[in-house]
Amino acid sequence: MKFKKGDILIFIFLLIAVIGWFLQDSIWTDVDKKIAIIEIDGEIYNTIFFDNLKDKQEFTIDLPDNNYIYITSEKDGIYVNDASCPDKVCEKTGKISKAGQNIVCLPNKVVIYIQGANEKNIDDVSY
Amino acid sequence: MYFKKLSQAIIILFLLIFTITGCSIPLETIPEKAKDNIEPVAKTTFLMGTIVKITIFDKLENDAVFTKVFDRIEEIENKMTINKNTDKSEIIKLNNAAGKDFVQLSPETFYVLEKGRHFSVLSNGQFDITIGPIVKLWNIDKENASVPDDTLIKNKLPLVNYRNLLLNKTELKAKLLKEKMIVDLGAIAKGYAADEVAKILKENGIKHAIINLGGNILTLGTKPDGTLWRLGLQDPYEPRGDYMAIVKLNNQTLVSSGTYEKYFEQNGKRYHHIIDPQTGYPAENNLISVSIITRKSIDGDALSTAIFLLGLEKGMKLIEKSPDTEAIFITNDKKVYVSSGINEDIFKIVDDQYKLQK
Repeated sequence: MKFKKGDILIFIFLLIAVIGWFLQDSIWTDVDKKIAIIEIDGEIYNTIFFDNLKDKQEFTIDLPDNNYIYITSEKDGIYVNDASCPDKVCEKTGKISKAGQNIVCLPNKVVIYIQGANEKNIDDVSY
Repeated sequence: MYFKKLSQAIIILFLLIFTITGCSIPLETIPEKAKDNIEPVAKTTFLMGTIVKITIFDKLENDAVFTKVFDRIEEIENKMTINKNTDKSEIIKLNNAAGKDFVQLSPETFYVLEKGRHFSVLSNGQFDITIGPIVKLWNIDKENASVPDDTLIKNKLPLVNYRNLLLNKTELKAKLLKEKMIVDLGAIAKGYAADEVAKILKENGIKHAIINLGGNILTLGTKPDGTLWRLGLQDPYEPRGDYMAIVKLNNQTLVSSGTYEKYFEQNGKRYHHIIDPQTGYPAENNLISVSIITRKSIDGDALSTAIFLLGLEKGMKLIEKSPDTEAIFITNDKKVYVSSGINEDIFKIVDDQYKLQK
């Protein structure tokens, strides 16, 4: 028994197509550009386009009553280094990178979240 | 010859896969964009010590309804808080009069207190509306939170007893029998506020909306195209916004309580905010979160804490006795248990680290 050339070609083609079909989620997640949005008290303060970042970007936002939040943005995510809040929930959250993930600093009314195509699958998150 | 047939078979199989899946996938995604032209409008604010997000899926002339809703939540917060410095709080008045007098209440504060006592009775004290003295000791929101002295906890425990909260329904009055008792509506007031928001939205002609009070979800109606809302269920081990399952809702509430929400660490041990009224310490029962699906958000809010504290076995029994109420339990080792009314049409795990138990 022997493979004919055509059989092998078709087989390889199909194999690639099927593998590609199953891997499409992981291959094409970044097609739609991801951005991080920083909101203060419900208003958008800043938008960060990860693709445009050359290097690590660090900045401190001054907030009312001598409060502050110190944020670092890297090519693959964003996190809070330090903030003038008692509970430090924002720091404990760590780095976020996937669409829909967010960091909340309740005492300072700051929300940082990642926007991208993936989150469209759901309407909201219960936590 | 044999291989020719094999490749033919593969081609047919391949075509079958693509006709089946290729058809069904676009159908699911297209209606969202093509059918409802109305872009949802969302507004976020900070109230009741948490983040409030209202998303409206109907056509809006202006933002007036958001102002109404946020004002209403603030009104409820001021009436029922024990954390704000306000002379409007009826609960602060009640706590200050502990061991002394009856306090006159508004109908709505009375209603929430009564609900609080109802769930305290229902859970046989595993949820207790008078947990305030212990919660104040733990101070979990505050800077440098640490484990309180054990004798302090033991001394305060006798103050926690919902049976010592007297309610006079005809006169709308309440009294705490022992001095230094503290009512804390923290595990129920947000649910009540969500129900009130839904009421205001309906009065203003809104039919499709999602009310999100610090992660407590209440949906109004269905999506504009008539399909069910799709809510992500927080992955307890990942940053907020990462979900491990999808829950479908229709005019229902989804409220979760979990050890991941608020906590601090001391000597490598994690102390979370769900305090067991029997011991005065954070509950340790191998659960990491409990989510409740029901009609009223006030019930969902109280039950999520009560069922968490009851634990998997007793909690599940109580849920199975409660009409129109379902629960999802997640254990520390990522096992998922659901009540009998939950099937794969409304609940789907999307992260295979989590295993549904039969």
